[in-house]
Order: sequence, then C-alpha cells, then structure tokens
Amino acid sequence: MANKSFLQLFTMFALVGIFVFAIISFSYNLQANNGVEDTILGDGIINKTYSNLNTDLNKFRDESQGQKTNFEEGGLSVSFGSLVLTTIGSIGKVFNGMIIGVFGILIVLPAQILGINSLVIGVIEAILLLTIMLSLWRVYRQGS
Amino acid sequence: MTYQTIDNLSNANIGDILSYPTVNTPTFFPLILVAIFIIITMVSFFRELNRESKGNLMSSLAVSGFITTVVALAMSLLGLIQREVVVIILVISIIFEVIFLLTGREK
Repeated sequence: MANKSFLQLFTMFALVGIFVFAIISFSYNLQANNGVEDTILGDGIINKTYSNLNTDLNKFRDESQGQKTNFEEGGLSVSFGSLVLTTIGSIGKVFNGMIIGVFGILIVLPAQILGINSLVIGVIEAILLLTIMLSLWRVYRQGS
Repeated sequence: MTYQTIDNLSNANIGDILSYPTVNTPTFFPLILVAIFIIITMVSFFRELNRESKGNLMSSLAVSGFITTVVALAMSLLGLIQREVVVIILVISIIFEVIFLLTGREK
C-alpha cells in the first residue's frame, strides 16, 4: 500500500467499499428470498454499516462530478517554468475525504463486532493517513 | 444430566435431524465452520506452494473466508446457526478480503 499512487489508493478503497456493500447485499437477499426471518440486517452494526456505505458510495458520483467541474473551471498558469493548477488542492481534499469516509465505515465492523482494541485501530488509521498525505504530496509536486 | 437421544425426536423432519447435534452441543455447527475455514485455507495455500513454489496466504484466507460465509448463509437458511454466528463469520471474512484487496501483490 505504501508505494501506491493516489489514484491507485482511491480506486482500491472505492472497490473495497463496493465489494463490502455487495457481500452484505448478497447475504441479505439470499436470506430474505428464502424465508429467513432473522436476517443479518437485523444486527444494528451491520445495518448501520450497510446504510452508511449506501449513502457514501452514492455521494462519490456527485462529488466527483463537482470536482470535475471545479477542475475544468480552474485556472492554469505558468510559474517557475512549470504548469500550476490552482484547484488541485481542493480536489485532493475531497477525494481524500472519500477514502477516509470508506475507511471510517469499514473499521467499525472489527472494532465493535470483534472487539479489536482501539489502539490497534488507531495505529492502522495513522498508517493510512500518512500514506494518503504522502501520495497527495506526490500529486501536488510531480502531478502524478 | 440426561442427554437427549435421537429416540426422543418424534415426527422429525430433515431440519430437526440436521439440528439434532446442537441439542447437546450448541457450538457444533460453528466448530464445523471453523474447520471448513482452516481446511480450505491450508489446502489452497499448500496447493499454490506446490504448484508455483510461492504461496500467498492472504489470498488463501480471503477465498476461504468467502466460501465459509456462503456455507454459513446456507446453514442459516436451515436454521442451524444463529444470526450472531453469521455476522461474526461475515465480518472475519470481510477483514481478510479487504486486507487481500489492499495489499495485492505488485506485478
């Protein structure tokens, strides 16, 4: 994960979000269509994770559209012999927010259902945040 | 403690017979699921090790987690395990699958 570009990092988290959403959806549909009364969505944490993922993944499209408009309207200028794109900062913040959003939803599952210590969760979160910051810095500096 | 024997079951249908082991041993089917998970992980890992001389434990765990989830869902349709067991198995398999997706081998 450490050597991945920001694009790869974002794509990975988006696909992980879709995958988890799909597996919960498949499990629920299989149970509901076969007459199981006590489905997995009866569990409060799974239910909350499912609805949060639904909301978060739906926001991806709208926010990406908004950032595309932002990118197209943003000014390009030449400074110190290289191209400068002024809107890349806000674009980075929005997509960074999406990654953290998916991570925040998914980390609830092991933390609350399996009872994993908050210390472990904190360390994983720190590694992820550092990876995101370094990847974004590479985008700002080198444009890739 | 008097153990219930199969003679105590009257008018038993297939669901009653399948769930009979849980009468005296409630953890029977969860243990079966743990065994399925471990067996598939080991088989997958060592097969890949023999075939390609390099095994990927993460991918074996992810595949095994997915298969165990499907088996657990099938058992829940028959009422053999409770929702809590299905949820725990689902979360464990999601963890392994997410770790595998996020740490995929660089080609």
